[in-house]
Amino acid sequence: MESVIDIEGLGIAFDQGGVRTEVLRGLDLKIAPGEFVAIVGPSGVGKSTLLRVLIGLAKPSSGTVRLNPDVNAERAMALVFQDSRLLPWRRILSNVCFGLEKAHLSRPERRERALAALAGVGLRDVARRFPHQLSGGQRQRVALARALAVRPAILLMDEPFSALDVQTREGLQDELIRVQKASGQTVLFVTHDIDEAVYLADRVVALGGRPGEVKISLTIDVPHPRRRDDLHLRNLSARIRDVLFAETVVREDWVI
Amino acid sequence: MLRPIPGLAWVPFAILWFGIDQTAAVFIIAIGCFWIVFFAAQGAIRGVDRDLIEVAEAFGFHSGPEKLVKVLFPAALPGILIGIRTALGQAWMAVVASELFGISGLGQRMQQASSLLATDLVVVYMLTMAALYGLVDTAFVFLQSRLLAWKA
Repeated sequence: MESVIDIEGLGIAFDQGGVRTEVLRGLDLKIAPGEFVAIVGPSGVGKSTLLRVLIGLAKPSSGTVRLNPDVNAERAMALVFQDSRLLPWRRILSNVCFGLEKAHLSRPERRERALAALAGVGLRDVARRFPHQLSGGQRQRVALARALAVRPAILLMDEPFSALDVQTREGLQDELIRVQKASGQTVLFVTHDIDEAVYLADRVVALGGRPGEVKISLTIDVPHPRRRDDLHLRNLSARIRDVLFAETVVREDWVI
Repeated sequence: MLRPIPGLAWVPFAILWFGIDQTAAVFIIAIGCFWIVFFAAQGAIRGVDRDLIEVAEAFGFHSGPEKLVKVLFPAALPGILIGIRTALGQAWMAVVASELFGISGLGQRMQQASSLLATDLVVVYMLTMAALYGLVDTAFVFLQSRLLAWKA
């Protein structure tokens, strides 16, 4: 089946105070419909910047991003940020409606769609509240609902669970898998947590180096529901770790 | 540049442009309030969280007017309202200045009582003005709390 998105030779560079910094170089990535791809790598490797480029908040310096026009979706992409970034003056339902206000939908249609999206993440009962009345985990679920409501071809997620406590994070990971498997949503998920990537994704792409390049791309051939202590998953995590940490220069001249 | 010019200085221009008329008084009050609201609004807009503007862009709201309506204005509203509340007090002070040239009203009467050294009357007008201001301010605070119900 043809891919939803075809990224070829993508390079990202910035001019900072006259100095040109290359963040990402020669990235090739194809994502199949319904596939869950996770990108891992250390901070500063250009993972988040990649998502910013895809959503249109930054411009690439080279390469092409081609979206498959045949994919049945209303918007190309939607992004879930690391912090929920809900609009504090809007009630929860209205926040979920936000992205839909760009679509040609009547007010009742938007409302209905937003309520369905909220119900999808189990938060229908807080529709009338304001963001500050919700917990961090709830806010992030609302952010997920807001992104899903616009029915994107690809859901982009930028370390969406990294600011949450372990328990909430694991709950949300399982919820994301449930929602994704139920809807067949194509997902591109960025995280610095290798275990999280391996637990969630169908395929993990590890970026490393400066500028960032693909170091390894692994298919995670373990069916869902997965166990967090699955030995095979652990082995895959270890392989990615080895590849990423291999390039960390170890100084051996330290005297202790 | 026009900011340090006192309201009184505008009196002759107000008469020239609007005549001895209520409009002239309104003009002088408006001039006295404009900069307070302007700078409060400017500061509030500048202080809007860049992250929220990005949310608008990420969901496809790219044009200036769209971003203004969807994010900038609602996010800046608390600061703008503070400016308006400050200006409300300033407006009452400008009432006296704006009624110096024969437009009837509270300011003019206060001025007359003052020139006759009728301090008891002056006090009455002072209290009246304070009471009216208190009323307007209370109504404003009520409105403000309704508009900013989303604040923690």
